[in-house]
Amino acid sequence: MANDPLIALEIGTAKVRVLVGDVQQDGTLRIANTGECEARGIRKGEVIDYQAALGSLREAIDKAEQEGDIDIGFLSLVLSGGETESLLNQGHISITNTSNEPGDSISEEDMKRAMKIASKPALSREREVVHALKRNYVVDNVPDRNPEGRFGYNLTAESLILHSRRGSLETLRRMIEDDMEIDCDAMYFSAVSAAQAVLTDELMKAGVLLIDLGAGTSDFIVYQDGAPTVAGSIAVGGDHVTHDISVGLNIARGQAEQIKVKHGSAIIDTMAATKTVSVPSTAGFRGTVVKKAALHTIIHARMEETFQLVKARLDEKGIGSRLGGGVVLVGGGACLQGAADLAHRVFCMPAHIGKVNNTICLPGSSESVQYAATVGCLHLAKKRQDERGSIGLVPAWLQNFLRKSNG
Amino acid sequence: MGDAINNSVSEHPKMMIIGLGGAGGNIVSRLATRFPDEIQTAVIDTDEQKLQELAVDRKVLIGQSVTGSNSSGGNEELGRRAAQADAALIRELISGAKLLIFVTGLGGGTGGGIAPMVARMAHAAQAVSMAFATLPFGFEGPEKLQLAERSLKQLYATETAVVQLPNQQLLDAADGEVLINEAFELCNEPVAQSILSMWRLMATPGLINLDYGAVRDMLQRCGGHCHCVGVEGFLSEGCDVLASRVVDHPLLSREMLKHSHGMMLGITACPNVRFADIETIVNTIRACLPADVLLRWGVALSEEMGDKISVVAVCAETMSDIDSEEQDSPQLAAKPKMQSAKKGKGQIELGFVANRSSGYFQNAAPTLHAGQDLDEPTYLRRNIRLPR
Repeated sequence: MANDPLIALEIGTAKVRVLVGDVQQDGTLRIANTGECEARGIRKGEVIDYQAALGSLREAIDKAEQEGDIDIGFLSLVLSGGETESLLNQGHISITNTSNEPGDSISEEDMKRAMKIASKPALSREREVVHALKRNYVVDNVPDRNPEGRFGYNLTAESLILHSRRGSLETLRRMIEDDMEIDCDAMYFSAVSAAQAVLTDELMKAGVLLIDLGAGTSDFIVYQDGAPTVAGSIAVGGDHVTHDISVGLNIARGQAEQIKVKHGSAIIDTMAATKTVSVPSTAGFRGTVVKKAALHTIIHARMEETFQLVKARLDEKGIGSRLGGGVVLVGGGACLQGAADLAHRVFCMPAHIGKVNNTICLPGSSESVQYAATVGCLHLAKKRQDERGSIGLVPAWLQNFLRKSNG
Repeated sequence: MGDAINNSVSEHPKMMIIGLGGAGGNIVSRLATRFPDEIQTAVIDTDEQKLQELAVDRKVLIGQSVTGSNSSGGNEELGRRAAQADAALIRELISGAKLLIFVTGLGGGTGGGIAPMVARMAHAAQAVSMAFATLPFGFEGPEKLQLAERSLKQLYATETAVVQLPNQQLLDAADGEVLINEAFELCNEPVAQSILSMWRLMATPGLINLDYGAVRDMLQRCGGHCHCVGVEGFLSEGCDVLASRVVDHPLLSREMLKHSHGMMLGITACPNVRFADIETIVNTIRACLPADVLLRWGVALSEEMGDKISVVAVCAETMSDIDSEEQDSPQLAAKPKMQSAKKGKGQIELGFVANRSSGYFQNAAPTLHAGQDLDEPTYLRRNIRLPR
């Protein structure tokens, strides 16, 4: 195969995952091998214990290297922490012809120049741009998706900027590049990469809200008319659900996690009002019996609030319930029973669980939704490789060199 | 948003008067104009509509997620939950303050519910705090009085100096023709006067010093069974007149004075007051007290008084000795009671105010939204009852 393997890394709050993929001849993505382990020292997507986090990263990378008998030298990172937020930014340029008079046909060069300006917003020193997602062009106040060749005086490029806390990004980057000595080619916000794996162009055109319900954070992105409109991250996730259960029912965290996965539901089941769940004893904690209704009430309150927080963010931007594609849920939280029903209620839009497209050999096909962001990252890495095009034919050492010089 | 209503203030004041709940808010709002600029006034309440009417420096709306910007409807449990929900807002308000004076009407939901919580937060913030608590009228019924007493006990447990102000006594002093709105007006005025005098005493450096420590000691040793009156008058009126206004104050009576065990007198006057004037005041008041009474008094001089003189008197019905304080002191007596009352609910709720209950999210930055700590369980913040 001419192309290098694609490698995606996700340092999540619950799991550290490495996926190695390659592209089949027909263009589909195949997951070649995986490395996964429990994440340590991470809370809400942020590193709180650097050495522990580094240890779990090393473990996951080692696993992937051994399984595939490869040497990982570069990878793309999925990002979930860092309080990612979005803002719309514009870049204006005036078009002049060769004799410096206003007005001319717009060239590809002009479009690139305008988009470059739109990709550099004024941010505070603590924030760093993760993505500058292309939205649209406007020629003399008339929107045009691809105005190449069109005559105009002024060209405006619109982009959606996703920015995160610089410190969080730098911590992860250093961990990968300095401590692991692996090149971090690119970083992708989890909702952006998950969208790549589960959303179709039709859904994006119809309008869709994607929520990645992670353990530490809930990340979301909205597409309208095929372009991203708003994205963000809320530092509330599955860990909070587990915490609430352990506080509310007076049981250990491990036990809470266990009954959440096994018996949890985001919708209060009125039929189960008198049913009970037995909590087995674990390391030093006594077993007990709890009411199913109490368990569901706690989960319902937290999940409803999480969705409401996302909804509030959308309402701020004036996005109501007018997304034809509805809500798509991915991430570990999407596996929770009733999550889609609850999302339906809160957002007043149809909601369903996302399904990973165009990918074969997914690990654990039934829970592939948990891998959505990491798989999407592979898709993005593939796109990146395609864009570099012919570079794929040159030897690996030169490729590495070129990659570095490209930044 | 919970903090939209706050007026932003760049620098934290050293002294602050905070009205808690509806009644407290009314009194502070009434007083606001009479305080010098360096004293900040604030009101903490659950009722958005009510807050908007008040004229104070800062307004803090709490418990939107609990009461939905309405009043707590006389439910102190709701008031308490509201304070828990927005503990961060309250902490932010009191941070940096050295002396806090709380004014609250006990017997209501918000005032009674949040006063002990706020006092505890003040204690944690290492601010010196003092609470003025009005007690309900007699006709408001025994239930309300019980509620007030319960709140009062919790308030004592926070080691705050508490001054009780029974509304009924003030009303009894007036004739029967008082209109309903006048009745509250009538009660609020002496309360305002007491607060103002007490404030002056503590804020002005004393010639013969009587500071917060003395006040708190007095208040704690009498177990809250005391009466606090403040009067203000011109030097030209004559000091004996002023002194007689103290002893004939509606909150006191000569009979009560005769059986009192302790008295604290704080006098704030202009610098040109004569020694004989002070002597007259102290002696006139002492004449009404039993011979073996413990009398503490102090004088503070302030240019700002002009030719006015203000007297604050705290008359204790009972006094515990310093030796027996261990057994009798109200804060120690009240503490176990409070704990037993809360036992059913588990310890989680007590831990709420002092520090973050969660060890799990301890090292990560808290997730804050609209003044709420999202790391706290949602069902607790939203006051959702779990099926047991």
